[in-house]
Amino acid sequence: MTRLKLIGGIAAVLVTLLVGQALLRTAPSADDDSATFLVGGRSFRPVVVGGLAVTVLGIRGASLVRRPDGQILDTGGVWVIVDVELTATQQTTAVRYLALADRDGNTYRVSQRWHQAITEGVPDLQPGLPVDGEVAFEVPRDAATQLSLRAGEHWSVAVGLRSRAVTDIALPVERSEVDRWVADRDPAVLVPPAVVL
Amino acid sequence: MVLAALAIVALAGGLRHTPAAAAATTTAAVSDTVDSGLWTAAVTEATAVRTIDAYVPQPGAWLLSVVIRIQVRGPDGGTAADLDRIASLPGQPGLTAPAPRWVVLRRDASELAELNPNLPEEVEYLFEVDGGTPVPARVIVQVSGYRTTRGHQWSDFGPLARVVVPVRNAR
Repeated sequence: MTRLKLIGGIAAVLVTLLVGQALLRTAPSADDDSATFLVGGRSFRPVVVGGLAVTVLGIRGASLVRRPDGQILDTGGVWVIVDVELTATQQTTAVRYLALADRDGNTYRVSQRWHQAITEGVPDLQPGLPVDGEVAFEVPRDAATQLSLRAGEHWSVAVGLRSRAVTDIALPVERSEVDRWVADRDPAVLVPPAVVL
Repeated sequence: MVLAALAIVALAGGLRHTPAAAAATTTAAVSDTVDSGLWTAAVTEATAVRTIDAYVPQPGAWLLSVVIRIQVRGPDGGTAADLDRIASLPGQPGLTAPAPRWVVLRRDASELAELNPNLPEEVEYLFEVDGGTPVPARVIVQVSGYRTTRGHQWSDFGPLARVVVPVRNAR
């Protein structure tokens, strides 16, 4: 009888611990509380995050990119070039986070291999003066057909994207398009930004 | 009782939080993969050259190019600032500075910027050596990186491995 009580006691402790663990796992973690807030959307339609409206107007790709200084940049993946329109909706602002994300959770920040005319922090955006231009990203070829544009007003080294809103605009790209981009060895030149009047 | 005690410890996560012992600097072979958590690095070759593309050393000096194949393993490429400083040449005489003068991508000689996940790159670390120093038959390349994680950050940046690399003389 004593042995039965002992086993019963151990079983009760274990069951209590397991139930406690199960409850803890269903509660939001600190990471959940500060997760990035994704605002979904589609190309050719403005997606608003905070005081910034982002519209994807086109997508193309290349195996090589020619920088403004003439240097040609190669890649082990493929260059994905996105035509975006950026608009400040309320006050002067800028896009301070700009990346492509794939379905596996990897992100590919706007290329820093040269100072692009549209990049994180540049240009300043004034309300009522949309800016349209191209921006380039370097991504693995296998990821190029499953990308979305992440753009937001806020990002910092210390905080990252915690609790911030960013776009999640799906970029429709077919495998055949990627193959064509990779085969084309003519360097792409990006269209510089211009105010849309 | 023993099983119950083990179950309690495991459920409390006690075993998962045991700190890993700090690893010592190891010796690696050419092309061996050195794991730094956020990235892996493999030293593949070393070459003595006069110049590479637009990278010209001071008059009389020459460049010792060390090629390291780097692959970012994390979900983003936020490691570029660290990748500048992962290679050093302990014991190599004649260096004008302990750090490489330039760090460039081998594919097009553009300067290293952020590397992306799943896009391995061969990166050239260009060390400047004064003209009076002969080209060595081999060089010791020390690869530095991170050892452990603390919270969400990788920590304890320092030497991970040393690689003895034959030097090809192309001066």
